[in-house]
Amino acid sequence: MNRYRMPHPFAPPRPGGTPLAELIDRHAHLVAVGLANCRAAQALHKEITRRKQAALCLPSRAPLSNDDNDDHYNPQEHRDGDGKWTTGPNASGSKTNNSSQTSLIAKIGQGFKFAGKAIVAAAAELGSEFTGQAAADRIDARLAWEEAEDSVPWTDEEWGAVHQAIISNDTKKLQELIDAHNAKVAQAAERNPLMPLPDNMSQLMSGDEDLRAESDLKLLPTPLQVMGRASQGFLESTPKIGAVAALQGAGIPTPISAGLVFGTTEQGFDFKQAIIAAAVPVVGEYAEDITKAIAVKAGVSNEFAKQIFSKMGGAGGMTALIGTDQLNEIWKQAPDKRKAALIQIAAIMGTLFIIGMAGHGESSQPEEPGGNVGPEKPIPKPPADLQPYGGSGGGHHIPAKSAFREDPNYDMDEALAMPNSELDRLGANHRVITGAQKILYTTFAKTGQKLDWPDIERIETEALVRGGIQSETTANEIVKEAISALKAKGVKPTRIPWGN
Amino acid sequence: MGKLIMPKPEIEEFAKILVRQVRDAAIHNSDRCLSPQATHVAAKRWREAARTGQLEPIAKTLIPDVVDDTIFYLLHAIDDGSLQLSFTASNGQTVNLTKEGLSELAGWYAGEWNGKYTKERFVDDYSDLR
Repeated sequence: MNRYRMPHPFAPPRPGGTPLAELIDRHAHLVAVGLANCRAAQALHKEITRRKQAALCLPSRAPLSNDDNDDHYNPQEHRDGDGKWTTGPNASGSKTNNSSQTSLIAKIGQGFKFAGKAIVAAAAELGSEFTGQAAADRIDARLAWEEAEDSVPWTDEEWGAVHQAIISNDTKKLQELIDAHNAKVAQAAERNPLMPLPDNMSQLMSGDEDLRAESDLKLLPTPLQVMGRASQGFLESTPKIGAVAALQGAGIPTPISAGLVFGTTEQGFDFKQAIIAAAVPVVGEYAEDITKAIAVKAGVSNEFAKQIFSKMGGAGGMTALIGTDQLNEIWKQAPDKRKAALIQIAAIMGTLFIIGMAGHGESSQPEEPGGNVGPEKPIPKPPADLQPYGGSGGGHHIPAKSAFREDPNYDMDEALAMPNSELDRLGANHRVITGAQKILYTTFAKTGQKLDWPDIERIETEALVRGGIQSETTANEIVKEAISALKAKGVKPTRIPWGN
Repeated sequence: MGKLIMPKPEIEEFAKILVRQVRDAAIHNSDRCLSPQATHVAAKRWREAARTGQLEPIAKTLIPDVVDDTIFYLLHAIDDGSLQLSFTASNGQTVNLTKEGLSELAGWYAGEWNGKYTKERFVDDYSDLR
């Protein structure tokens, strides 16, 4: 069963389309009458967002046909179906600056996050009348997924686990974490009204699940294939979109990827973007050398370095991360030295990326060039707000209180515990944690060894992870904090809980 | 109209602790399973059951977990001394559960007793740890 596809409520009745203010009014009206989630409201919202993003994007590029600064532009002039002017002084306007491409480019601003694929999807939407319902449904599925991504942000715990997987060189775990997060996004996407019906989805999924650029292009009629390929090139030279999209397409969450690309600037494009745009293909050309250099500098395998390069969004993400200041310095050097300089700085960026993801927030070698460049590091915050058990928080004792029975320095009420509010925040299950403690301590008791702090740290960490603390790093930091507090009071383990 | 019968203050205190530290705590812990952030085995099990969209499999999954949570918090309240209870065994011996349970009753229950003694359905969340 194919779903009926609603016509867009903002279909332009006149050149230039319905004014933005009117779209906003229409959207506000739908919201006011309780129809905020109807398809018309969603479509209006998307169009409003698209126009706002397009407005941000356009000034940074070469002047386009509808730039405000283009004195030749008259929005009232008639255009043909491809966007070419049909009357007036612009009738022979450049093909590359026609409104159709402008529309195509602006569609990127709808927020598709699949680098190198987004523009093809947009082109596919333009050509949906040629390609049938499947392409339209695919785009809707992508939009549903994208909105779901926004509604299910990566948590600190998830990031902690990702950090741990990266510093442990555990690519399998890393993939599992990404898959686990994507599973949550998938659940949210399923609830999105944009998501095609199951039979439509199965049709899509049986085909090209990843919306591969080339295969999508093949779906299009020849003119749109040409446009799609040209636009893919444009996407690569549009760092804000391309780099963010690349990073996000690689599984890097929006705030991180945007931060990597823009740093602390939220103003969108500026002249610096052009420098980055010029460097993207060069960085891409040296990708293999860069991954090798990352491997050497970061002390990881070539394969892992390759994955890191990919996770950083490939050439687009790496170039954006290097940043305009560094690129300027590189371009000042003699041509024969640029490659080496670029590889060196990219390798440092890769290493910084690994370190940054590990949450240490410090450069690898302060004296190295580029050591002070990179994403702004988040301020570390305590993994959990442990409180004395006897306070108002109650909660779960860490470590198990029975390990310190009859120790005169141990006070069950003063000992730190994870309050119920923190169990809530971290999504942990008290019963599951305690059951895991019991089993792990009993297992340890069977070894016949004497229980010491390192054993307690290991067991308690594992129990917390078992109980739902998503990051082993976070769990371990929580346990270390609690143990430190006990040590400071002179507490020592006296027995193996559940062991004797 | 008859005289209003009130339990002794001590019994009221017991009731309050029972409700707050057992009933309410169990509900709260069960609610955590509904959190989108929850990744522990119980939460996963609940989500899996919810996918069926049928009441029976959902309820059959939730009921043992909610009961286990309730008993867990009863024993936890005994462990931390909030509920000072004694038990008289079939041999006539009476034990102070808080004192002689070594503050480990809740762990014993969650990690062993519920699976060991139950005659109803049970999912071992720790089969890979044993």
